[in-house]
Formats: sequence, C-alpha cells, structure tokens
Amino acid sequence: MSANFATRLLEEHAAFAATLPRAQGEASERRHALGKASAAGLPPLRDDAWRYSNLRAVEKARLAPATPLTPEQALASASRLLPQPLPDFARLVFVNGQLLRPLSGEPADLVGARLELSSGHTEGVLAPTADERFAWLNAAFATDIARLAVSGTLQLEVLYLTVPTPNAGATYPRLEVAVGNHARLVLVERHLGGGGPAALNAPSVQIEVGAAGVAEHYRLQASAPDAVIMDSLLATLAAGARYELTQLSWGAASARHSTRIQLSGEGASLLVNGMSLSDANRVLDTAIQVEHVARRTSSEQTLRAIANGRSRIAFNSRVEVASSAGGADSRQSLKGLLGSPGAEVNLRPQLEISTDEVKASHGATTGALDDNMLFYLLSRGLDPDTARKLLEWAFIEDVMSRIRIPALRRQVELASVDCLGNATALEALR
Amino acid sequence: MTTPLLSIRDLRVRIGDREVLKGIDLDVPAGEVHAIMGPNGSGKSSLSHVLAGRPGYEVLGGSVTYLGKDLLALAPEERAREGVFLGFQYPVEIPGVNNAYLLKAAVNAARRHRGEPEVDAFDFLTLVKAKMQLMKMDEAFLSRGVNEGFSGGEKKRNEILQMLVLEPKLAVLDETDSGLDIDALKIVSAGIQTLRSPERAIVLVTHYQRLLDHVAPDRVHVLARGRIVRSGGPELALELERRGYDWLLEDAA
Repeated sequence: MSANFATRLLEEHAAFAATLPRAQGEASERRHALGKASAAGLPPLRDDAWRYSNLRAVEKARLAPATPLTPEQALASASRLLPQPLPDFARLVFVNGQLLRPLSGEPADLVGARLELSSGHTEGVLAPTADERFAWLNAAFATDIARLAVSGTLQLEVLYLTVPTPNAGATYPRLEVAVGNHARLVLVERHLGGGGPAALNAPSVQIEVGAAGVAEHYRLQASAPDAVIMDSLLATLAAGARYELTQLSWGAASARHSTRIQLSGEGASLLVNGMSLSDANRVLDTAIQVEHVARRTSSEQTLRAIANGRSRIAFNSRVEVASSAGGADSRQSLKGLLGSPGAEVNLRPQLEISTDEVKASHGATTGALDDNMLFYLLSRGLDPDTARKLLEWAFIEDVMSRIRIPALRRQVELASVDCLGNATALEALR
Repeated sequence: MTTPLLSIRDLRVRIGDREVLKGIDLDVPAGEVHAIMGPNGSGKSSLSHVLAGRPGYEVLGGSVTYLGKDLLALAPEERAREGVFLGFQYPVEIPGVNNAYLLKAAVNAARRHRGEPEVDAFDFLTLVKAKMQLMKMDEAFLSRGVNEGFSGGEKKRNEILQMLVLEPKLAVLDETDSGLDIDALKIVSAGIQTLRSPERAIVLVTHYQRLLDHVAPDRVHVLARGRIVRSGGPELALELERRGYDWLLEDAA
C-alpha cells in the first residue's frame, strides 16, 4: 500500500510542480519535504499509533491541490461558511488554501505583528517526525503560506474554508507563527467546510513561542460531515513561555490531529484542553506528544470525548520527561463518555520519565453516565432525557469554561449543543 | 383518624439476594414528624431510597400509598413532582450543572406537572436568595456546580435548601444530621422546622438523638434487621440514647 502511495505521490507532485513557477516548484525545501513524505508513505494498517485514523480514505484521495478558484467563486462559496466575527480580532480568510483578500483586510493593518505570505514553507525548530508525517505532505504541496511574526500583542482569527472543486483536489493550509520574546498572541484557527469525501485536507501549523511569550491558541475543527482531515501541529516553547492550546473537534467524517509540543526552555508551561464530539460513523483521532526537555517545565492536559451513534474517538496522549527536565510537572486527565452502545472511546495516557525529580499524574476513565448523578437529578423531578442531556453537557463544561473569549465560547457552546442534539443544554445556557 | 399521607403495609424489599426490608408497616399522617432510628445496616437508608424510587431495589411485596396513590408504581421523577423529596445522606457532586439551574428546573418540572406556568426568573431568584439566607449560604453557591467542592456540611445545607425551595408534601431526610457540627446542625434543624405544617409530613432517618433535640418528633420508630421493632413517642428516642439499641435487638431476635 505504501509503495503505491509513494509512487502516486511523486507522480502527482511532478505534475503539480510543473504548474508552478520553476523557482517555486523546484525549491529545495519543497523537494526535501517531498522526499520525506514519499519515504514515510502511509502508516501500515496495523500501526497502533494510527489505528483510529482513516488511512484508506487518504490512500484513495487525490493528492494534487484543488483547482484554484476565481476570486468571485471563492467569495461566493466562502460567504455561507463565515462565522460571526469575534470582536477586536483581526481576520484572515483562506479558501482552499488561498488567501481571500476582500475578507481579510490588508496584512499591513495588523498591529503588533508582521504577516508575510509566502509560496514556500520554512521548517521550524521542531521538525516533523513520522508521527506528524502529513506535515511533510503539506510542506511538499502548500503554496499560500501565512507566516506571522508577533512582536507586540495580537488577536487574530484565521479561517480555513474548504469548498468542493471540479478536480476534488486536496487542500494544504499552512500557518507558521513566531511569537517573540514577551509578545502575546491570541489565535483562533478554524477549519470549516469540505471538498467532498474524496478531497483530502491536510493543514499544518507551526508555533514557536519565544522567551516569556504567551500564546493562547484555539483550534476548531468543524468541517463538513464528509470531510477527511489529516492535521499536524508542531510547537516549541522557549524559557518562561506559556502556551495554551484548546483543540475542539466535532466535524468531518474522519479527522486525525497529530500534535507535538516541546517545552525546550526552562520554566515553560503548557495547558492543553481537548474536546472531541462525535456521532453517526465519525472517527476523531487525536495524538498528542508533549516533550519536557528543560528544567521546571509544566504541562497540564484535560481531554474529553463524547461518542454517540457508531462513532469512534481516540486520544493518545504521550508525555516524555527527559533526563534534562528536572523539576518537571505533568498532569493528564482523560475522560470519555459513551452516549450509545455502538460508540467507542479509546483513551491512552502514556508517560515516559527519565529523571527522578518529577511530579506526574495521569488518569483515564471511560464509561456511561454516572448512575448516582442521574438518580439525583431524577429525584428532583427532572425527566430522564433532560437529566441525561444535562449530564452530557456537564461533562464537557471544564473544557468550555477554559475558553476565555466570551464570543467564541458562546459560538462553541451553541455548536456543541447542535452537535449533541441537546436542547436541554440550550435551555441551561439561557 | 383521617387517611395518613404516607401508608406503608408489609413492605418487603431485596437488593441482590439480600432481603433488606422484611415487612414494614408505617403510617405517617399529614402534619407530623416521624423519626426512624436504628443501628447501622438496619435498613433505614434502604427504606428512604425505596420511597424515592432508586433503581436496584426489588420490591417483593407489600404496598406504599402516598396521598391515595400507589407510590411504587410511579417513576422517581414522578414521585418528586408529586411532592416527595429525598434528602440524600451522601449528596453527589455534579460539576458543570449549576445549582441555580437545577433548582429552577426542579421547580418548573413540578409546576408543569400541576399544569401551572413556569416560574418568573426574577421572582424565583428573590425567593431562593431568601431561603439561602435562612440556611446561611453564600449567594455565590448558586453559580457553582451542584455540590461541587462543597464540604460535608455545605452539601447537607444544600439539600435542605432544595427542600425549602421545592416545598414537598413528604420529605424523607436520610441521615441529614450526620457529619454536621453543632452550628450546622442548628441551621439545618431550623430549616427543617420551617417546613413543618399541617399539610406536610417529614420522615427523619437518623442514627442519633441529637437532631431530635432541635426537631421534636411526634413519633419515633426503631428499625432493626429490616423490621420496625418498636414505636413510641419522643421519649423512646431518649430511652435509646440512654440504653442503646441492643436491648431491642434481643427482643427482635
């Protein structure tokens, strides 16, 4: 399977590169990424780390990018997908990977940051590994790369919209962010729409937070129900840096989120809030690798899953504490809720420690709703359906409550209500 | 004598393969407070839970009549809406469901059941705050998760608060006094006292006499090994305090 994939990748890439200006198509970074992507191929079907990813869909998907849209087409198809703007946020809108200028304002307008749009990617401090192999695929094909350098304070929303194209081609959104020393970024990144069941979407995001910098990063995967997503996120944290990642996933037919975060500077701290909600036959697979490299680094992860219908959710959260990371503190809390008998939640917290001087805790529980809680609510007169819906809602409340942008939290709450089919929660929100 | 508000006849109940209630007979008329006392494992909590309809209890025989209705035929939520309230011995924490919402949902469930309109949000809040003052609870509790991070005493006060807001006709309070310090016991007792009225009945399930110093019962029943082995007036509780339960257990054996 992998050999076929690699051959097809090289062929499709050659045809694609020929359409680019020669300097872009032949750029050494692009060749390098292509080499890595084709050598890595697809994970073997029995690979435990990819067990929940829909690799068959990728195997069949076209790899060459979607046919470019005219600005009129892009604008027409984008408008129906656009969420309400967030107050005081700058906005960038990409459709099928291309920047849509009329909806994005001028890059020069950004205060406290410099935005560069580039046709070629830069590999970050933290290079992808086979665990984030779709980042190589992204780098081999991406053409509209947003490179952001934040030096002051910036609140930015980046919308990646995907719409169908005649060739059902793939999309490769790419964002490279450097948060400078003492700088502060609030970034909302959304993935909406979809190119159809045969169109692969492989976003790749790089974040580097400088010394004492702060990045608050919200990622929302709310794609169309037939979308196929292979997403990668690589982040590094310098000394005293703070990175808060909220990763919410409820769209697509199948989505894989491969995340690797390295705490490379002393005193760096990381907070990860993850929530996956699924129904029907959806498969949401999240792999998070956290690497404590420097001293006195801390990480805290809160991961929640609610699976309904015949859907599947996996969280594979691995924390490594290197021998150089004395005084590290790591906490992982994973909880899964099974909303129906045919649903599946697989939680795997893993911890690998190479130093004695560390505080670490992890817990993972999956089950149906708590009978004691349910009876308590019934004994107060609530009907069973309302009680169940209320408890489902309560289950994700600790992730919701960490969304610090009120307008965004409201949008996420309403979307979750919709996703869970939860009219009770809607009433509770009033 | 008028028909009792609650009438239990020869009630026999099993959990798993253990018979926990072996033929209970009990009448509680409206307007009265009855105390059910007894040693650990006598079936006191089982009786409370059966009255509230907790799953897992199998009724082998007998009947429970509440306001002329077959109580055992009603689902737990229907019993609540009909005015039966269970004060839990161990109230659960439900993070993410806030106290204010639960109170309002509970009151509205009962009102809809009676064909009344839902409460006005503002009036309701005013009422709840007044009751909270009585229970010496901070208003900040309202926006917190149900019992989330509450101390043992705060959880019990919250049970009584819910009771005061719901105004049940039959309140069954399962060891509401356990784990309370003297001050909290006084507050909780005062709360229970305010509910006393000619049209309501209160069943206090307790291990100790001390709650009864503050909420004087009309009748006291001793439950042992799944049966009521002795009933009497308030003086029975005092005798139990002095002599313990052993003498009754010997009688029952």
